Amino acid sequence: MTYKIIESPFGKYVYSRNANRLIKMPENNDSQSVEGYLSEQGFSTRNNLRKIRHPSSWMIEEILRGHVFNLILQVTQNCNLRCSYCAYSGNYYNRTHTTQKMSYDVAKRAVDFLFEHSSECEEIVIGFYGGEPLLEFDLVKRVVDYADHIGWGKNIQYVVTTNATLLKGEILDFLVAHNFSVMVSFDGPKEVHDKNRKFIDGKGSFDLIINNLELVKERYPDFYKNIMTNTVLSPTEDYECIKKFFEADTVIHALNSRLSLISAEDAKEPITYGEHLSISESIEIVKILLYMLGKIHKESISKIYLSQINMITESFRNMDFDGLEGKVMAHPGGPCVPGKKRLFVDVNGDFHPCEKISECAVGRIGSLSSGFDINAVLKILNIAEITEDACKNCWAFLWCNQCANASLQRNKLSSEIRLSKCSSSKSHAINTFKTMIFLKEYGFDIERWKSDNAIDDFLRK
Amino acid sequence: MRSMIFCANEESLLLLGTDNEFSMSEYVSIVTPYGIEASSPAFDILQAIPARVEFEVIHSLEEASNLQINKLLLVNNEKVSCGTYSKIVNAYIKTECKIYVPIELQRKLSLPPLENISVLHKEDFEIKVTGDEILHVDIPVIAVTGIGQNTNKLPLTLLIKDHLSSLGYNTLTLSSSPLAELWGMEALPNFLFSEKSFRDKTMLFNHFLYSLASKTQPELIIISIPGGISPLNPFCYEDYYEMAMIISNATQISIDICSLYCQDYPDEFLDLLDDINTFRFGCKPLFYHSSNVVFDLDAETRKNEFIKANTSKPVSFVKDALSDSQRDNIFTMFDKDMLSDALKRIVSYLIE
Repeated sequence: MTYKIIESPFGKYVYSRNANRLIKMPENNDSQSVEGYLSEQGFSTRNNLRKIRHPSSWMIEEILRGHVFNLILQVTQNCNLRCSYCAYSGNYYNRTHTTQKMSYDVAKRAVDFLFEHSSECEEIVIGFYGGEPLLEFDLVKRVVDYADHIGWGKNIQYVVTTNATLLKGEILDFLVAHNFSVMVSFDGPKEVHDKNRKFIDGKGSFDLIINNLELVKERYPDFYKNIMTNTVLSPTEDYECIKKFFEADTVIHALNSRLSLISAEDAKEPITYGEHLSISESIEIVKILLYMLGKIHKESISKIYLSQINMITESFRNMDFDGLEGKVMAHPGGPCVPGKKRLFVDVNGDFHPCEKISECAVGRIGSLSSGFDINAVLKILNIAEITEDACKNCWAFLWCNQCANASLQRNKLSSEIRLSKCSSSKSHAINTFKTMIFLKEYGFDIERWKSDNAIDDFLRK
Repeated sequence: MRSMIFCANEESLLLLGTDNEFSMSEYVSIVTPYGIEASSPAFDILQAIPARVEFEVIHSLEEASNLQINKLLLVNNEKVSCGTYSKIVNAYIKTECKIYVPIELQRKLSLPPLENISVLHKEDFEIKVTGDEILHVDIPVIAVTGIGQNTNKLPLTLLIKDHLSSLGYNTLTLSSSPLAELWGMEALPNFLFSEKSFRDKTMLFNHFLYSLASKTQPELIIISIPGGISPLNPFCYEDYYEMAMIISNATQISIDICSLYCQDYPDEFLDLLDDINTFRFGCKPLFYHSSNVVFDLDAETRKNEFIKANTSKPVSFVKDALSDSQRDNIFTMFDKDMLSDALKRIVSYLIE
């Protein structure tokens, strides 16, 4: 089907994937005449797609030759915390905490590889990941010093994702001196944070982290303002309590925050969130919509949901892209170009598309010793080939949010697993469309919004 | 003696394969940021215009500061600090080394007006325009246009210029490259890139070209027109062919060679480009050229991306286009036979 009827309180809309547009239907149309109406309006319903193939496939070698710009180094698989939902907690296939760490030789070769494959990029990113990367601070220092030494002619941005338990003293001074972008994992008030984020001895990490962040705020107020927190919501938490904490706490209040849910990909046990999360989220989404319509102030919105504003405006902007009209070959939305947007190098020097994908053979796209495995890259890039028939006929083709990670099941790319996630992907698309319809019907003007708001600046206020 | 090109980019690498002071050196040291090698995409252009002088690639700033050179070209790179440039300049400014520096970089580094410092593109022509008359420039003009930026216009212009010069034609060639003077080309004047009105730029350029042609008495004029002829990115304002419009209003274009991104070339696409060029510039392209650059639009950032394709790809696309269609007016510089045939036909057309 190349179109989908969306029922809304304002009447029927139809989403046409050929046009990539939401079109309002006149009243009293049944499904038989939808195609007739679309045709009258100049929108074809014909499905021309013959093949699933990502448009970057034919030049993937050239892209990876000079356009790799984001290197993520897994400097260690060890951590000083034992967070219950961590990908390395033992609750997931293919990953667990180990004491393995990256050698300087591997790290240096990875940096060399980045420079050799980023010749067409003026700006590059080197990220440090773990486990807890600051456990290997000496290695981090050596890598930064090496990159700075060879890196004339490029802007290098350094990034670290940390639990912040070691964010002090010499480590903090170094990160500030090199203008690191820091992401701190932080789950909310003490009773929530300490439930999951504990030291190996079982003690909670909240007090230490807050103390460290207070010191950062005092010593380096400008650096502090640019720290981001990532908050993982567990299924059993009190979300209202978490929201209030982020508004009220004097240390955390000034930071930019974003929310994540515990990943269900390749988990040993299913992870299910109850209704109370969706209710809490829905309340914030309604507030966001009212804010975007100019009915309430932004202070009414929980700051941990502010990033949703960007997502909503992005969805309007995604409608600016061409539809599938006349195209015989395309790939559903979802996958990025593996290795280009992110090149995750594990402790052994093996390449993966990102830190989210399980460290398993099927997710491996090469290594420092052999370079990129182009066939493996193409397999990940063209992930929808494993569900070709379903995807070719899916109205949500352009709005699919599934990458290879969603298809992984214990070392295999599984079409069954990928198809099992379709309904969730489609629901997400429908909810997005309904949000857009709501805003449009109440007079929201995306062009005026774009000119009135620099979105990135807005989120940082 | 030895020369050095510091912060070499693709444009400056063309110096290795064309007539100029640097290609007459015994040896050229190419200093590039770490990771850029002779096998990197920037060097692909040497497959169309092979280097005629031996060269090496250096990454180390220490090594670059301790060579025996008599010519140094500083290429402007915004990501390189003034301190880095100064280190290199200080290593050679008191020697007999001649230092070539583009004017933007000279201003950034506040380099003094010394005898051994040659500033490129420093003149701003004083042109007086009286009246509303467009002056007739009675010399054939070959325009090298591109569907967008980064379509190999400069190397294509150099190939055409060198070929015509080798046949004995006296050519006047204009380019926006900051290195234009090194190839005996004239730089396009600064007023074209200023805030002046479309009308003023057109009149000024017409009078500029007339004045220059009167002085140099060329038999042919070649103009490499910066920018593109069509907007490509719906999310980002581009120049919307302003430069091509100005120049084609300022002077009659006799021959247009339009350089394209590396891609399929179905007849419908080229027919449409014929119409766009005819309607906007009064001249249907005599030839289309396939560059080795692929245009891509990053779905996330919505910014333009230019990816250098393997040089066999434009050859393959052009061969497919020639075999599938009635057209015979598409070529690529990366195939010597195609290039040679195209240059011969350009000359035949001029003679007719």
